[in-house]
Amino acid sequence: MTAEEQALTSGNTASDDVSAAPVGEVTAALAAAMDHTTGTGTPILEATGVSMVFGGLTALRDVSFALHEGEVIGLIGPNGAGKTTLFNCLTGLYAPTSGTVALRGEPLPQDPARVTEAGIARTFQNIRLFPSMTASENVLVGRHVRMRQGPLSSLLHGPRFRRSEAEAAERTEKLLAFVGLTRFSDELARNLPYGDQRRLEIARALATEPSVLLLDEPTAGMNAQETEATRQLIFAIRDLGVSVVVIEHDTKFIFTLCDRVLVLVQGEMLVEGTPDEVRGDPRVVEAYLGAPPEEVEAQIHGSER
Amino acid sequence: MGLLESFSTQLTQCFGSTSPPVFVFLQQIINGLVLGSLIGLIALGYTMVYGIIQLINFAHGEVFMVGAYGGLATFTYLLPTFAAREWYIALPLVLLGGALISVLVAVAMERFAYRPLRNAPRLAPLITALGVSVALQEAVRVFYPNATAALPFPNIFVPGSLSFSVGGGDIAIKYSGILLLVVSLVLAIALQIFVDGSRMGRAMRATAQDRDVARLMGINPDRVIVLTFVIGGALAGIGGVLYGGYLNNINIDMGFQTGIFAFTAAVLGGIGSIRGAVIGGLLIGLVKSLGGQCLPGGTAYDYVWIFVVLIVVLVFRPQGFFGETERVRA
Amino acid sequence: MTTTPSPDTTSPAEPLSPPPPAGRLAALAPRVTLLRVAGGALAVIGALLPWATFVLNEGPYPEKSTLQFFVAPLAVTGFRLHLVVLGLATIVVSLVPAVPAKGRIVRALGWGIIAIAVLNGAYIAVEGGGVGAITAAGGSVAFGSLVALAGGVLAVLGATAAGLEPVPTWTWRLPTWAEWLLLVVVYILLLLVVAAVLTSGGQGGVVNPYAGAVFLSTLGAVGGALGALHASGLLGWVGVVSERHRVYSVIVLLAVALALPLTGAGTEYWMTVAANIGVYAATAIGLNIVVGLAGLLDLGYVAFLGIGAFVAANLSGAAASQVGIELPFPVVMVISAVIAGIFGAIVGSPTLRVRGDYLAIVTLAFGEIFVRSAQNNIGGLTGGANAIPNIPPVSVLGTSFADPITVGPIQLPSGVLYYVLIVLLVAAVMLVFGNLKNSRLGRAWIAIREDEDAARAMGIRTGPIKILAFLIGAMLAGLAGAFFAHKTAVVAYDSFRFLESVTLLAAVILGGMGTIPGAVLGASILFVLPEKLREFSDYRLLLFGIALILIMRFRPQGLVPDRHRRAELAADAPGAPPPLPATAPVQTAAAGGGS
Repeated sequence: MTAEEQALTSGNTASDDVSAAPVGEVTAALAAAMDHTTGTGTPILEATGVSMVFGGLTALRDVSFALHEGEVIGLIGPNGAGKTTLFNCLTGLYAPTSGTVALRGEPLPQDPARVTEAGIARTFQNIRLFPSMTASENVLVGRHVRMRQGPLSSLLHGPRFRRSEAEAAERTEKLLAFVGLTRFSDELARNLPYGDQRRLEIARALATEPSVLLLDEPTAGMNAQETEATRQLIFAIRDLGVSVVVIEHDTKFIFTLCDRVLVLVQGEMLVEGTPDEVRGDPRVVEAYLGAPPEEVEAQIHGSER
Repeated sequence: MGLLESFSTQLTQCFGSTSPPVFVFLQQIINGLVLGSLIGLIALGYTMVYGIIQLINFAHGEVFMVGAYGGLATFTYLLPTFAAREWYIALPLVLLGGALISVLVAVAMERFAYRPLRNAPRLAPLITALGVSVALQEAVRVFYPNATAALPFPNIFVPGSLSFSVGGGDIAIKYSGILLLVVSLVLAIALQIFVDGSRMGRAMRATAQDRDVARLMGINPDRVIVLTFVIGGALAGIGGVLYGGYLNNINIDMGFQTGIFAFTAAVLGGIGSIRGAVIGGLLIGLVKSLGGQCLPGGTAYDYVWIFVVLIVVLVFRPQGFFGETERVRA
Repeated sequence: MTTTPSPDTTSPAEPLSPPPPAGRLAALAPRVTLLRVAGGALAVIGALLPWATFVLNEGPYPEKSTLQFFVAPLAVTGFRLHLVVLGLATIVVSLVPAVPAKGRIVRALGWGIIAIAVLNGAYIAVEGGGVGAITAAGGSVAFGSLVALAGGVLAVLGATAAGLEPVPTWTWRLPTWAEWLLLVVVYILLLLVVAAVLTSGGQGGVVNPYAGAVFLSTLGAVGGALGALHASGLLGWVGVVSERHRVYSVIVLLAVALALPLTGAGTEYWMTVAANIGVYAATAIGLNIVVGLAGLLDLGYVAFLGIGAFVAANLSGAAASQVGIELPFPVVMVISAVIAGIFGAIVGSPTLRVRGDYLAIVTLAFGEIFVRSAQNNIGGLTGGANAIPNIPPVSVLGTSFADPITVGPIQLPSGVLYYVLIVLLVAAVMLVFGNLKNSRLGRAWIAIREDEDAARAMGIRTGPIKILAFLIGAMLAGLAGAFFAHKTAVVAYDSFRFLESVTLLAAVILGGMGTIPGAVLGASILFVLPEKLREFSDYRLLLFGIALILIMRFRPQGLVPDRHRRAELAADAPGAPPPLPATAPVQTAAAGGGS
């Protein structure tokens, strides 16, 4: 299986102009710019006893986990397990009914905009780009929180404005190169092919200079080749010093990508561990077999790929 | 300064030692209820259309206005003189004429203005609705004889009014006002029963929930939407005729103002709710009549108070009394 | 001169031969050149034939439409001259092999011919009492309009039968001095066209019963010609060139705009019309920030114009003013803008909780509250039904802006100073809009318009930024209001009704949301048309309402669409271009070459 994997990867890099070629050189530049001190051990994002109740429905029950710097963790579970709800709690879109979320020990502000400013960026399950803006404008919007440009300087376009615009444009260019979308930079986001839209969403999230990146089903609807490119991209992002949390249905993808895997079932954290531990855990197998038919089917489908 | 002064005078007028006698209040409440029942009747059209295609049909107020003119035209040009004299012949025919015109207009606007835009960005149908509103109002002004000024509307119901003495004074309520009140409530109840109980009513509710799923269930959404406009149009047309008969006077501006009030009522009651629309309408009617009596500025500002209510409701309880709460989606 | 006159070299993806035409038109494909030439020839012939069988009631129709066959072929003027020009252009374009995108150009010319023929023919028929006026009656024949119409239809058929070529992209680069010269020439031509269109048919009303028809016909001719220029790719190229010299272009354009009083439009009447257009254009640009950029529908926007106007009226020293102080105009402008801005922030504050249609209703309610309050003379500040009359004109250094002035040997009409002032004001407002649009703030607005939740996830604090849109938009309207108060000398609540808000919104939409030229163009059209079509004034609003419906149905992106909006709104239209490869502007090609 791993050998197959390897073969696929190398075949991919040779043919696909998107994933590998530009990443190497740009990564170095970006990593320098992002200026994260890469090291493991200190949890950067920590959820403690998070519960979320909607009316009578408990979507999350006492979920705790910690994300360390430079780590990629996966979040799996059947549909309706509360994965996206957890994401919404982590990004300030929902205030958890109880429990806390802390970023570098600081409690998370209750406002998505401030959370992004504090250093958590996300993508959406159903792509939510700004459809009528170009690819580069989408990324420029991501620079919003990192640009120091008040209304007055926006109005007057003085030298400081021009400097900050030039800097943002440069970063945008690099990020687009990083995800392999340079040739589409002036194309409207809505016109991009599906896989490239997902990549653009990641570039836009990276533009906010996050220390934590939350990816909600980044490979949904992708073919094997695109999925592989995404895996390489996530590795490259990790190498920039950004910690990553990935929601994914494709368990094979998760197990070969992540350092640790969390399994969420019916709003509760069922298992947490390394991919090998989780894969071997009977409870996980049961939870998945007990899932609705289409879910099981998706699993089968996923492992076929 | 002037405002504060007038505020205190108004308040003393209503609540202070110089407070007017009880019968003035009662009279205002009755006036408010009659106006409110009309607003509720029109609000039904707003609430149903918004519930199903999420469109604020600005032109719905004009449908009401067109209904009044349709009724007037029926009376003036179609009714033989002997029929015009007897209210039990004239009333049903004039109502029918008004409702028919309103339904035609409503269906035509759905077919030619809104349907082509069903998948357009949301701004487009709203602006179209504004265009339809302006065009309808102007079409009546230009093409209806002498419509540039207000036109007298005949008495098509028992003339005179019911009056009784309460609290040291007389209260009067026109028979045509009673008719308006009763017909509005009866129609609203009938509509509620129709929507709850009938096959078509279920189709309407299903379409309002999810048009695509409804289509999969074998419901033709186009037919449901047309039916919604037909019902809304008929109610507005009937409202127009009854209101004309109540005030004995119609003009081309009546649609816009009443339409906004009706929309306010629909939101106040909770968009999509029939009960809500009626209760919202009655409340708006009361705000107008009592606000004109008791709040600063008097009747000159009664419209302002309705708009204030509108803003407050939209800002603080956009789901209204009977509406569902909105969910945040990510 | 390092020119490489090779159109259509940058987009190799585009098919060289036009796409196959559809349906029955295909049968005409082999004979397109013949059709086009015949269309052009018929237009020319039509222009030289008589157009009316008798002299119209109110005197001879402009440009001697009863002229007999070939009486004076070289003396044709007015719409007949337009027809001859368009017809000859059609023939030349069809026959000269080097012209690119023939079909597209001929189609535009053909529509221009049709517009002229239909407008004038219909007008003569209506005024002359029926079809007899444009066919044969009383022993005379007048088939001019029908022949011209046939020519236009043939041209359009011939143009579309073989399929339409894509608009070519020109990549000429001239030396800088040549491009500068070119821009000056282009802008001066633009000025002359604008002046000619504005004054065509003269002042509407009783004095000049044909004003509307002549104006519309001119508009049709100019539209056809501009369409042809656009189809040839020249307009796009000029656009690219002016973009290359942005600052220079802006300066030249401003200078050219200020030169309008020196053209045929330099009379007091046209200065007033232009100043009014300016007021609405400035307000529409402000509204464009709120609606076009931030996507927040405001249905009570004209209230801010009103607030600005009433503030200025009260600070003008007018007798009816309650405040009774007179401040210098620049100070008044600032105060008006600030107070309008404060109200803008108040009206915008519900955006924190209310979205979409509901927000539109909230703004409508605020607008109505303003009108009602002003009608009731709230606080004695608005004069109620009596309005605030006799507002003194702006005066600087003892020169009243209402007086005519003399600069050296040139006599300028009164109102010219107001015109200069409003041009500068509109230019400033444009600068504000343009700068904001291309900034962090502008991008945040557009992001909110596109997807508010995603915008928040990108760290945009949507609340304050939306309120800022309202605030800035209202300030611009307030500025315009201060000008308006002094220019018209009377401020009445009646000028700020709901319908005015709808008109402003229509101006923004008609021109094209999110663009500056769009707002100015929309405001111009919506203000000039009623001036010219006085005889239709009864139908004005009816036509306005119908036009609004038709625009939303057939051209929701407006006349000058924003790059973003164009893609968004045109996507559902039938026959929209395929998503990716065809839309390859110059920059994309350059960027693609680099990677």
